[in-house]
Amino acid sequence: MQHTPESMSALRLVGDELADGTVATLFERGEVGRFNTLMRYFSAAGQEPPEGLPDVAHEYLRATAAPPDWVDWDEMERARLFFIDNNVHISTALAFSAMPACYVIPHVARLLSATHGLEYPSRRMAETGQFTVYLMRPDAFEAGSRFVPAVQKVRLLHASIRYHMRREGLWDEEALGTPICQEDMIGGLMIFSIQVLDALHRLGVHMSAEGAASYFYAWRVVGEMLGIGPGQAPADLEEARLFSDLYMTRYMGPSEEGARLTRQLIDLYEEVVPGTLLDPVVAALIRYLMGDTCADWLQVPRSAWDTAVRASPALLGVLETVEDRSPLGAWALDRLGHLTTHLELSSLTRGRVMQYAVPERLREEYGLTSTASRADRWVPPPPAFPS
Amino acid sequence: MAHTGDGAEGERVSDPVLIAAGAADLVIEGVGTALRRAGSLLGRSDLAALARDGREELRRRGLLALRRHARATESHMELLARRAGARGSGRGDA
Repeated sequence: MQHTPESMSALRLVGDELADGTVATLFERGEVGRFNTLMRYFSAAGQEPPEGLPDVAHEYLRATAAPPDWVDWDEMERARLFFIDNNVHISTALAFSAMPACYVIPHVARLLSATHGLEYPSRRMAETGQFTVYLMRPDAFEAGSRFVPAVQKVRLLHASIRYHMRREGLWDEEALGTPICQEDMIGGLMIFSIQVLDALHRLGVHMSAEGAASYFYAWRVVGEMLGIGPGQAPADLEEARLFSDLYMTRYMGPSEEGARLTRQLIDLYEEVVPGTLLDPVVAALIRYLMGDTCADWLQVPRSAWDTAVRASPALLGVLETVEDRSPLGAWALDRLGHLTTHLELSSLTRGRVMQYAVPERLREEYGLTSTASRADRWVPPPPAFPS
Repeated sequence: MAHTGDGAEGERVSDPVLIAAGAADLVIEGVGTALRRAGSLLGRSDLAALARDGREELRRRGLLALRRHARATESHMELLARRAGARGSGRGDA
């Protein structure tokens, strides 16, 4: 649906009734410890919930086991192909643009700082990466999938953060409404969907209109499974532009927590980059994607590389043109992208479970390739506000 | 970001980067001119000064090349941030 500042303000008061109720009951009955222990063994869709699981958890798992009934599976298939085509660029956009974008919203940065487990960007990055990888598996919604249980757990994690933030008085409910409210959840959805597409465009990646629309569609499905009210999320990229721009301009600004989280994120990526010579490229890339105002709010250091990085889309543009025109070039760049993604992710996760290769099955076993014409290029809509 | 004068830009971009960019630019443009110059080099006595000039030329060429290839457009996020900043980043009052 198309939102206005008023409708967005109303969303600040709403959390996620189903998950919040489940978590509250578990805490009231002192069943959280047992629930957590048993849920460690629940990781695949269709698996029988572990014996001894509290009734309320059974009910929650049953109610959230299926994707929304409006899902168009052909569209989801196109989204997966888009992901395969752009895997390395999407990882880059998530790491250097989406993560800092969360930090530029002061109340989100404060919430991330206050929740102990999410304080370290490496963990959140690994979790986000894992989540995306599970989503893009060919069998994401079938029996045995790890994606649906991951969604069910993340939704409860959000509910437990709401519960703790309120109970421990860590959240100014009068000023900010509900912690992880519907507006923030949809805002988060925008950060991982249309804003990632914005970043891809800025990196010089050529996208088809169909690919961009399907990537957004997949995230909209995920958003509803994560507790965004049915029909509340923007329906297409045009509505997403409007919501995303309104949301960001309502809240974005500097904060101590945002700067600290960004520092940790940069330190983490610099560890991943071999040697120290190229370390400043990390900050330069964030600065390039986010722009100087946000980068200054987040205290991203300036360096000699800032200008050099600005020229990188020209280089990527040449590679993309090769990919558009030559099947052999496309194959070579695809392999290079695969290697880069593998290296990037395995360094980040330090060997934890992260099998990034799985989407390959689509191409190799089913012989599917993206049919969308890359010549039909998509570019992000201009800002929603009059300049 | 608005481009500043040569001096400020040159200070922020380190010499090796500029020289590499200048060298790349030179290659792209064609090495013919450089070869013609090299032919007349042997008879010169001011080789050191010439090398300095060459280095400076590469540096300036790199600066121009980077500027030529750097995108002039702002990121979408920058446009939003400026708007939010101009409004004093008021909470929830877009």
